[in-house]
Amino acid sequence: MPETTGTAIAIEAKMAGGIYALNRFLMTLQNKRMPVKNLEVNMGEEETKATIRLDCPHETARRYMSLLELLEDVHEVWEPGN
Amino acid sequence: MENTAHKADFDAFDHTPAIEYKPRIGSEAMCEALLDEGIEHLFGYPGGAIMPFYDALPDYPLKHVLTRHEQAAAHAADGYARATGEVGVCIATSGPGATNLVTGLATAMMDSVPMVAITGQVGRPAMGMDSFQETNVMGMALPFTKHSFLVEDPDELYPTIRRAFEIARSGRPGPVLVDVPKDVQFAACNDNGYRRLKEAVPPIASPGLEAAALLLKKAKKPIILAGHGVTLAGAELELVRLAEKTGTPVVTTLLGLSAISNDHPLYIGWPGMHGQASVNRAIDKCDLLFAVGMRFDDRITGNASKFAPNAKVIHIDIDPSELGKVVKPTVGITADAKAAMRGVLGHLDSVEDNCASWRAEIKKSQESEKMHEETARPEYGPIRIMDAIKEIAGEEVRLVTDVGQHQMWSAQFFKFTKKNSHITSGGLGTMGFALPAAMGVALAYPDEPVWVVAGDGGIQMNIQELATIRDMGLNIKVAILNNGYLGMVRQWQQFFHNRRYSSTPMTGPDYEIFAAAYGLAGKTIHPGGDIEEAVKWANETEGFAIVDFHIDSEANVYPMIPSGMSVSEMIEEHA
Repeated sequence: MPETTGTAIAIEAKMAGGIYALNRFLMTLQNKRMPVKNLEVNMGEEETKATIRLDCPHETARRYMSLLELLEDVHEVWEPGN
Repeated sequence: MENTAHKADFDAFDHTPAIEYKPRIGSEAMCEALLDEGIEHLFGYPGGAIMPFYDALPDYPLKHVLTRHEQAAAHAADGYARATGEVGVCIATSGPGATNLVTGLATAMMDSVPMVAITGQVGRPAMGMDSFQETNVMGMALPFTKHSFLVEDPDELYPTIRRAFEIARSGRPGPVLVDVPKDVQFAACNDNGYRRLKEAVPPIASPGLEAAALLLKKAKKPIILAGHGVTLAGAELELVRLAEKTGTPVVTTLLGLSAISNDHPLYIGWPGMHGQASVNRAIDKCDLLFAVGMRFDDRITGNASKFAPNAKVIHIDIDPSELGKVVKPTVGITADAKAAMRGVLGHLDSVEDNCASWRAEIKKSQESEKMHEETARPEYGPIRIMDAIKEIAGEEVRLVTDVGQHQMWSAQFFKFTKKNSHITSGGLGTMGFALPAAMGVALAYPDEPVWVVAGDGGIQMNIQELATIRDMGLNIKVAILNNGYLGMVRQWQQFFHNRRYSSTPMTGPDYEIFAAAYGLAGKTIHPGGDIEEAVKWANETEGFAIVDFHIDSEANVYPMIPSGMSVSEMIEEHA
């Protein structure tokens, strides 16, 4: 597990709709042991949006963002406000 | 168009000639997609849910290799992919066929090997019903694949398989699973469309290249650490050019072995848990580590916080999520190894050789190691076996190793001079990998020598493949380093568990008789026997031959950095 900071960093992701894309996304969070403090999902047929709060240093969160962005059915990952 | 395929019972295909399903059904679209990807060889094992595909297969110029276990099909596809750089393909049915593939998928994933696995699934109406031979293979494969598909729309079958190939080979390569319900294989398809993927390889940031070049120019004690990414990118020439241009010593990871000839004067060995002590010490002292196409695996770094403590680190990897994962780089570059090294070379027009004293220091530190090795060389044991294989099989030999002590001895003592001639399961450490992987290698290069080096544990894990090897007439030679133990586990028990050899003593068959039962040739060599004569015999035997070398049962692999520790805690033989 990465070093925790006590301060969660929010990231948002848009991915393909449906349960399979969401399943892949969640599996990646778990598989890479991302320190998920909070997760909100709005699943749609065409597109799903997830908001995650990660308890780790900003640099680590950016690496996780790269990893999630590389997933085939993830369209976009960003930090709100940036 | 009427969907005649749906009229067939998805659990009991009546083998109506394929022509009945023209113009095109799912199974035909699958074969066409494989052909359109340039595939020649498939490795697989049929079963109920993949029968429509197998029914279509004989109508296409695709050569199917029937393995004797699905795991072997996956490893054979993996070996084929590693040897050729092309995407390997394996096929299995649903349920146990699919679950048997999983070890092979995980092996390929850990070592970034491009592979496409196609599995049959129970028909769509039967899915989710706990049907006979139903497993959620797509879900199961998620952590071990780059991507996994379940194709529920027949029109998506062809484009999905094409996409699977593109995903497998693009960016950082890896395995992709395509799960196809049986009724989808029967169903008529109307769409041959193929949509290209999003671009996976980002452009290289040139400030990073310039900064890397500047660090190389200034370094007094640099080391290049080359990994599997160099081989995957075909960047062997760029690696040598960069090393020669800067006079920088080169080390490789286990999977990077053979990216540079062991004969090259700048090659100094490989680091890590069982790497040469001198190489580990050189990394400990270096002031710049140019790490390319590697991921700082824990077997390389040990305690990462104490790894290369004096060095600035340039880390080049095609996967941006690897940068900073284990070691924080001074300069991180997301790029293909070839493009990145070419880019760095472009910023190295004039370079002074600052490293002469560093190279001399490393050379001096290797003297006692080399002397020790030379003393052991004539003795009956692993070093002499490696020397004999190289000497007798020649420059073109490809070595496929299994996992354990013999794997480390091969890496330590075999002289790799041909590029991409070392094939092994590095990341996952999959025992049972070597024999089936060698089938893929031998099929790709039928006229070149392929030797398997395995332990007596690993060879028994997929030994049923002797039947496949016999049927295919594959030219594979096997050297078993037989110590009657699961040797590496026994070694750990000796070092860390007070010699309690719990469940590591192991028996096996008489391999000579076992091979004969398959109509194949075998020989047993006991300590003191003629190693060279046995290797020569195997080399001259047409097709397959196995030599069971009985070796010292308590021989250990030295040096060893215990897991999670640093170079200062290294265990050496003569210590």
